[in-house]
Amino acid sequence: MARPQDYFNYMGDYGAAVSQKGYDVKTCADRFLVYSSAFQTLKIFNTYSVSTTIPASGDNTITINHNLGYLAPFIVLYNGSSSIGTSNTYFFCDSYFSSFTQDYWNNCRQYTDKLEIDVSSFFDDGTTGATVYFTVYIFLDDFRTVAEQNINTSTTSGASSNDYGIRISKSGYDVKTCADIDCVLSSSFFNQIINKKGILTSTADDLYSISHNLSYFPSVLVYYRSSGNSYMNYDTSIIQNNSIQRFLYNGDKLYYIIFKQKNG
Amino acid sequence: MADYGFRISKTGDVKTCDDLDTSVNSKYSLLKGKLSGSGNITVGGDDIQTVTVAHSLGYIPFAQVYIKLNSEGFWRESPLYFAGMGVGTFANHYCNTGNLYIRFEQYGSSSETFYYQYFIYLDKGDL
Repeated sequence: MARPQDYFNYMGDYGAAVSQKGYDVKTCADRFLVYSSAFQTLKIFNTYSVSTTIPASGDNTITINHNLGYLAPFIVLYNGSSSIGTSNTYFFCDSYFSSFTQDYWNNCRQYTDKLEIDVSSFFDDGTTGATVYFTVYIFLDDFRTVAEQNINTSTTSGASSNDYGIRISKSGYDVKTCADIDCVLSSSFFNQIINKKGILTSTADDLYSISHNLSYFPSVLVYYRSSGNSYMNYDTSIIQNNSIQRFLYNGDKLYYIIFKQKNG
Repeated sequence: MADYGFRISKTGDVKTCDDLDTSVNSKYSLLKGKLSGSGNITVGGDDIQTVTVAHSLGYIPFAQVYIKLNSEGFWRESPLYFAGMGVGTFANHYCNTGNLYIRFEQYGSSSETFYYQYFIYLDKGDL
């Protein structure tokens, strides 16, 4: 008989773990956990809906004051414009593939107290005066080092179709009746559990590797901070099955989060 | 309103530690993954292909996509953008109320096989 997959599992160092529906919490791989006190997950500090217009020249800058006091992970989604319509939402880019990284004219800058989004005259279809809309996620977490550890890297499944589980609602919502989206976590969903996070500071112009012990290609979030800047930009990396890689100039920093979720 | 809730610390006393030192806290949502999957598609030279993944949420969610080019062997985050003289490899993704679309563009004479992995969240991409 299948055991409830989402009960609290007491490990050697005591703690709690919740697996996804269909996975035995005692034996499943770490990446099939929704929650474990052994690992961290990103906590959403706040979400924002913001807009501006495409200028005739230069940039219009959106400022979101969060006052966290440290550099926090963030996600910027472009929701379209009064010119191209708002039926599609793009992840860290406009509809012309132009990315919101430091290398492009569409730029996001995360400071310790605010996030700025530059919208240039070249943004998206470049229609001067068009209103452009964004959804922004800012996370509570910082980039203090979390060393990686694996409890279980197997892929064993509990193979249970029973709907045992745990459900925790947001403050102000009835956990028995609220919509799934109003839960803090639920065993019905997967989560991006953090395998490792931290900050790498370069000491020379070079290709740097940050090792991980997952033995597969994980999902990641990375941000780049140039030497002398008080802000970081969204960035991308090369994801290998034992490391992530990024070329850094001397003195620059890479803020990274390596998750346990697997690509491919 | 009373501050009922759920809180687990990762360091320190769970009753008094900073929110930043909690591993879960009903004050702050975690991202909730709804659907994930992977696949591959070969795009010919000077061609555009789009992969459609239905999510059936009825609102626009946010999604992360990772891409591997067969010619490279490692993964990168979408959006992906490489351009050179007469050649280019682009990939991005976007969501509407019904689907996730992963769009691949290959310019030049050579074809490219793209491997993709997607994570669609319950969390809204358009508030």
